Amino acid sequence: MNGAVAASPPAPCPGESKRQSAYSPGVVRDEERLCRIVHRVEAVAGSSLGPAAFPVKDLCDPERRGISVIRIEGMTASECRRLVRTAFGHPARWTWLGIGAATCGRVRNLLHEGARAFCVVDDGKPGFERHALIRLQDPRLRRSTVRRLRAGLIEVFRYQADDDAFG
Amino acid sequence: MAHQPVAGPSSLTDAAPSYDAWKAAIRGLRERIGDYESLSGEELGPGAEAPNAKAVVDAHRFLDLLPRGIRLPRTAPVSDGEVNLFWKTSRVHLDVGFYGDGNIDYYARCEELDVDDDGSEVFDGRTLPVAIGKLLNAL
Repeated sequence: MNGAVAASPPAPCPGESKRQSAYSPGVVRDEERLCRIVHRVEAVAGSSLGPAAFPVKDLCDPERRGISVIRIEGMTASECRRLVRTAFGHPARWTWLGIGAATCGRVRNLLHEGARAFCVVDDGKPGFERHALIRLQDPRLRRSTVRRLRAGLIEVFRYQADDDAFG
Repeated sequence: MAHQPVAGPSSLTDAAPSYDAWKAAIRGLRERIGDYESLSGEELGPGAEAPNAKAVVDAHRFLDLLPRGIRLPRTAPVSDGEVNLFWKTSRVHLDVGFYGDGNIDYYARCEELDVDDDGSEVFDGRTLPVAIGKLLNAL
C-alpha cells in the first residue's frame, strides 16, 4: 500500500549504509531532515508539496539519478539560500518560496508491496556537500507505479514558507 | 484497456452565476497550461525539460472532458516535461500527467469508492480511464 508506514524500519537499501561520496559528511541518518527547495508556486499544494516537486522521470530515468534533496540538519536558512544560489546556477531566474521538509526516516519507511519504496543516499559534491538523492528501491518500476509512489512523498514532505525548519 | 465516458453536464446551467465563474476559472486554467509551452527548461530548474506542445494539447483535451462545474485541478509544469493536473481532497487523490507521448498517466485513489489504481494508457481525447472517471464524478 502506497504511503503505508512500516512498524519498524525495513532492511536498508544497498548504498545507504556506506558513504557514497568522498565530499559528503557521511551516510544519511534516519533522523536527519531533508528538504526540497520550492521556487515555483505550482509545486505547492496547501501545506504539502504537490506532484511537481517530485518529477517521475527523476526517479525512473537512470540518467537523472534520483530526486535531489538537501540535508539541512544544523543549517540556517540563510546558509541554505546561499548554497542554493551557488549550486543551482541560475540565481537570477529563481525565487525562494520556501522548502518542503521531511525526516529521512519517514521517506525510508514508505512502502511498496511490503518492501521499501525509496532509498536515500548521500551524494555530496564539491561545494554542495549536503546534497543527497532519493532513489527508487526497485528502478525497474513502471512510470505509473512511480506516480503512485510519489503520493507517499507528497504525504511526508511538508511545505514551509518560513524559516522554522532550520536551526 | 478500460475506458468510460465522463458524466455529462451537471445541474449547473449556462445562466447560473456559479457556472459563469467556473467557465472563467477553466479559461484561466487553459491559459496557464498554454503558457507552459513557452517555458524554458532552465526556468524549471537545473537539467529540466519543459513540457512540449503535444503535452499541452493533451492537457487541454483532458480539460474538455471534465464535467461542468466540477472542482478544478491544480496544474503544474514539471521539470521532467510533464503537464500535471492534481486533485487532492480529504477523500480523493488524483494525479494525472501528460508528457506528449500520446498517453495519459494517472494515479487515482479514493477509499470510499474502493479505487486505488495507477496506469499509463493511450489518450484519444474522447474517453478517460475508468478510475479517473469515477473519481471525477465523486469530486
